[in-house]
Amino acid sequence: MKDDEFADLLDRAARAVPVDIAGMVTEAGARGRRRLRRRRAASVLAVAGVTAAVTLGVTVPDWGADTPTPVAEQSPGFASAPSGAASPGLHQQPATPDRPITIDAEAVPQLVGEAAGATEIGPLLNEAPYPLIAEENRMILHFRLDGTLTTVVIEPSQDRASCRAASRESSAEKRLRTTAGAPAQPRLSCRVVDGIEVGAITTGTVGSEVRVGSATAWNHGYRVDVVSYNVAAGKNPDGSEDVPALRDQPLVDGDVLVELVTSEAWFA
Amino acid sequence: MSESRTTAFEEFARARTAHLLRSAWLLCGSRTEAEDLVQETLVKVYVRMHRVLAPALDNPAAYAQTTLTRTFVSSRRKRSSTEQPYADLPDGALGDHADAAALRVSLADALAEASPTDRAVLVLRYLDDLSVDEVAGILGLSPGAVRNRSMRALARMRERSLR
Repeated sequence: MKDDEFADLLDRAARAVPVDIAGMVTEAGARGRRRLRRRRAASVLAVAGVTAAVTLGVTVPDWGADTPTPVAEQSPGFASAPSGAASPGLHQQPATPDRPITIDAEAVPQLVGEAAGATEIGPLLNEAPYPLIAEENRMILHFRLDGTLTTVVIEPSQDRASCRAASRESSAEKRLRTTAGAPAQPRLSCRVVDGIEVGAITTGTVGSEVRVGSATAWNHGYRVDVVSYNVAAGKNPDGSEDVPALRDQPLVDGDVLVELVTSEAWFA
Repeated sequence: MSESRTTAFEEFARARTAHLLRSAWLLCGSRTEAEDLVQETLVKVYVRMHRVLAPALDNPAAYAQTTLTRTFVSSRRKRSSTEQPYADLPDGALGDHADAAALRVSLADALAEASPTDRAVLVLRYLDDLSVDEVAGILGLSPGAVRNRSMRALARMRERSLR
């Protein structure tokens, strides 16, 4: 039997298999939707239930300060501890940026808004306390999606080179805070997504109704942060802190946050 | 955006399911298992097509074929100790000719004796008509290994019954 005869034999035998195409397509679509929902639910649960967690200072604005402080102006609080053993599947990350940020800043609200399913996508904010920075290796953007504040920060990772290093340092800080009776802070967990380390999703309650969701990825020598809130701003214009919540939870949920921070769209 | 992705998935799946099922049947040897494999493959394609921010698939058919093959090989690795004989043939296949039916049985028996990876090599090379390099990429083998496995498996099948 020659090769082409074997190919013909396979083809003839396989063609005899009866197929219920419509049924299979419908079932696959239904199962796909269920799987997507489960993944998103798992992400949300991860936000609430991470046990090996540490403080994430960088993504939470100082809601208690006298003036609203933009996220990007916060001290990250991440340390320069050695990264230790690499996680399985983790891509080696460069210590410094290996490429420029190429996305047009003006395109970012649309990109994030579409990913989050926002119906109202606001322009970039460029007034105190929300600076607009769009440089070759640094980007800090604030905008509103469905009225809620959203922040994107992409900066060279520099000495804050890994999530694991940040976690270890933050664990020590947390012990000190606990000893001192300080209030708990929102939490960070680390995991690897498609070879990229994600200093993951945090949900914090700051103030009575304010919820914050965020994710951070270490990619191409940068730290990419996306932060979503359920409010329009950290404080009211008169400085009071009882800002009304526009939603129960931040608009950009955990699954989408991870997709965003690990995306190549920033550098493509 | 999600609706357009769902529409794209349905169009793709309607066009490609029959071919995927043929490949799956040759790999699994059982219609039930083949349908499960195709379902799992389509679900993975659905999820991939709906990934936020992921670039559009350049070649969804190739992605699905790769996913199907890798899912099959992976599943067989996990349960290699409990693998069942390869015997469930499609009803009414190849018409009523006794020779054709006998050939089909021989094919099934011969494929059943090949390892899952060898089966995948044969299906990808001879049913899907992929190049050695393409098969190597899908299965994570070297081109030389694909050539060797292909020749060896084919020779074994010739020796066994497909003369």
